[in-house]
Amino acid sequence: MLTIGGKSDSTFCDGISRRSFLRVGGLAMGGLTLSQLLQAEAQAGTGRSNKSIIMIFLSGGPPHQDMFDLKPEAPVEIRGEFSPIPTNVPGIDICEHLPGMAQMMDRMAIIRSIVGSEGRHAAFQCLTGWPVRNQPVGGWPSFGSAVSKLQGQARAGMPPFVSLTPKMRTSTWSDTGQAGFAGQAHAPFAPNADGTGNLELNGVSLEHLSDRRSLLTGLDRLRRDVDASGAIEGLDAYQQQAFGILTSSRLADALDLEQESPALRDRYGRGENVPAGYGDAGPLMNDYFLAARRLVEAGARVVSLAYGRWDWHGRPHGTNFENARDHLPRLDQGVTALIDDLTERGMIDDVSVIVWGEFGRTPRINKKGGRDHWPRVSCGLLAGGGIQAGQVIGSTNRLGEHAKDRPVHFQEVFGSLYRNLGIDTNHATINDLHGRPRYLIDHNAYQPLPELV
Amino acid sequence: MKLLFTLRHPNAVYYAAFSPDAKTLASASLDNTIKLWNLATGEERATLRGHGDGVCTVVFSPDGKLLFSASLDKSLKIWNPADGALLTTMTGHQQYVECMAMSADGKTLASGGYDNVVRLWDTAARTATQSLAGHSDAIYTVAFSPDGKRLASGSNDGTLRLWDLLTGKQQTTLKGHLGAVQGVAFSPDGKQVAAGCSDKTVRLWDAATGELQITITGHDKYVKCIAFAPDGNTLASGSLDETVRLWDVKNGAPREILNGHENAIYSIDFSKDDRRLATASFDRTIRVWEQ
Repeated sequence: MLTIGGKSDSTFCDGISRRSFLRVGGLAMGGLTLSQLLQAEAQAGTGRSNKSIIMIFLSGGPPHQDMFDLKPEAPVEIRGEFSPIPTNVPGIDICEHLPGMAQMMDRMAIIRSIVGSEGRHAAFQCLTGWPVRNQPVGGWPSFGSAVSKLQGQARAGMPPFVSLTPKMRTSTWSDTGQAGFAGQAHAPFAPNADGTGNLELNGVSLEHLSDRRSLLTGLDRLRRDVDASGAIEGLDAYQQQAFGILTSSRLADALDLEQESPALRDRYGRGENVPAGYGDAGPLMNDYFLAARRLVEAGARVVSLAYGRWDWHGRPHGTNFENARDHLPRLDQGVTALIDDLTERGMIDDVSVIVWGEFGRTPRINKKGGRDHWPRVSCGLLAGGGIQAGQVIGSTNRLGEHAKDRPVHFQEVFGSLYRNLGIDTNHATINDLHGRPRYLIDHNAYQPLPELV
Repeated sequence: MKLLFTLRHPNAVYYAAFSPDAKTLASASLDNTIKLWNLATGEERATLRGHGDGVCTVVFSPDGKLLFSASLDKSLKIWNPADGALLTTMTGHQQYVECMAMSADGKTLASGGYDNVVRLWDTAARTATQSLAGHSDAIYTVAFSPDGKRLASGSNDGTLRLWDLLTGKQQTTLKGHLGAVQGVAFSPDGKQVAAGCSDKTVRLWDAATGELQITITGHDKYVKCIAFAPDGNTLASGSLDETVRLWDVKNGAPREILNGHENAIYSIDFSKDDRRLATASFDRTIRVWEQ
């Protein structure tokens, strides 16, 4: 833990002790001190890039055949209740409850044939590209941690990997992304992981952090105390960087959505900060989409978030279609607002957005009006990052049971995400805990999707 | 009818019930809470917490002094609606509870759900008194006859059964519909039974003979809930097609379509004075309509 000289029992005007404040960073980043984190980054040989990723994880497995791969010719017990609508790309139809996405399909790419799901009800594979089974010692790093290790901090005062995923009753969905053998220095900064769901910073509320007057008063006093003690000159470069993060307003500012216009927040859709659906998953918080944009704008390289509850087995928790009518319009609003916002800010070619879940859902509707788990095939949506948009990659058979052509493995998607960040998956490695270099994906089997270039 | 209030939960709303004096509305939601609403202003008066899963039904006692709730957490609870205090939790169901009804005299509750059994409860002793077994799949709806002597139950097994509550025996099965029975109600005079079904129809039977009298069509998707107006002349149905439709009980002719909900309609309740209608939907709202 970073140690600063001066009176340890003094407090800011909001009652938070300075020692508590300095602890914020350490706890939020997997228990490692910020100086250790920054030192680890430097040892990894970091680069500088303004490319970033926003990953929207649809917790529970979204129904591919009710979103991006409708089967209107299938029997009624398979095709479901929704109709396809044309998009602004001739020949591509998607669900009627995604009208906003339909109007910007020329800025998106759909993958209809994602395969290789482990079938586990967990965010893990969407965060790492790897199955839970047979991990190397230390565990696979989530892609945000790998990027943090390889590229480090893009901008002072901003952690490279931020997860907005909140705490949930289903812990495998609230996985913020393990650091694995990349090391705890590269664990995500996870402001919602404590379960408050209020964009809080380990008990220091955003309200406190964004109270500029009290914050600056407190920090000014801290700086004066520290400077007076002479401690600041004694800190090494990493500690000074850590001090910079702790005393910078960049992170707190990025998380402070009050700095955005109400009109823009309305455009994103704001959302309800209560667990969606059955109550065991995350909320439908469209505010997170806006926070993600602010975080990448402020210098985060990877921002991940979990959104809603997509595990729709049917009554009595609502049928697949009732839940889809509830979730899809909100997702539509949030994603289209995000892409528009990134476009209008000139960021869209630098920020890759991916929307997906851990698996698809059964073609046949069950007797409770639900669809069950279907690891054989699923779908995903990509936008930004300079990809070739306005296309569908892959297809499924007539009933949406399996990939018919161009099966796309999770690791091919990760290959493309890493490539968008400027990371060559054929060469980049991270040593596992035995010191053995590990590639980010199985590059002998999988390459970035050539269709997206 | 015109829309008076749109009231919101942060998750799907499964049921909304008027208090006997029609001054308060209680709503049950998949957000695990019950909300009480002041119907003079449309403002939320209280949120009752205690259930561990979605709340599927609420009903006031005839004197309005107690509020009963049934939940997917398998329990029934009794609340004091004046102060929101939880008074009792009643357990016995082995699976999700999906539906509940109260006898007109307030002495008996009936509940049904995914254990395929209708359970009867003594509201004074707050204990289970009887189980009605026979359905082979989840029970989606129950209703007492106005005299409290009979109970109708509808199930995902496709049957609509009438039970004699004095003997605890099934009296008859009403036939005509195809698929699950989603909502059932007795007419205020007790002479008819109406049911909304997965086959998109509303059907009316003679409660004494079991003869099918009228089949009402018009909904585009399955009918989820139904309710008779207190005057007995109007029947309301709510559907997955997001509409609430009002029908003439005499001949099944359509009277009015209430549009506005954006997801399946889960419940309909008329106020006792016949002036208002409350509809609850998976779209997270309750809409209160007025004549």
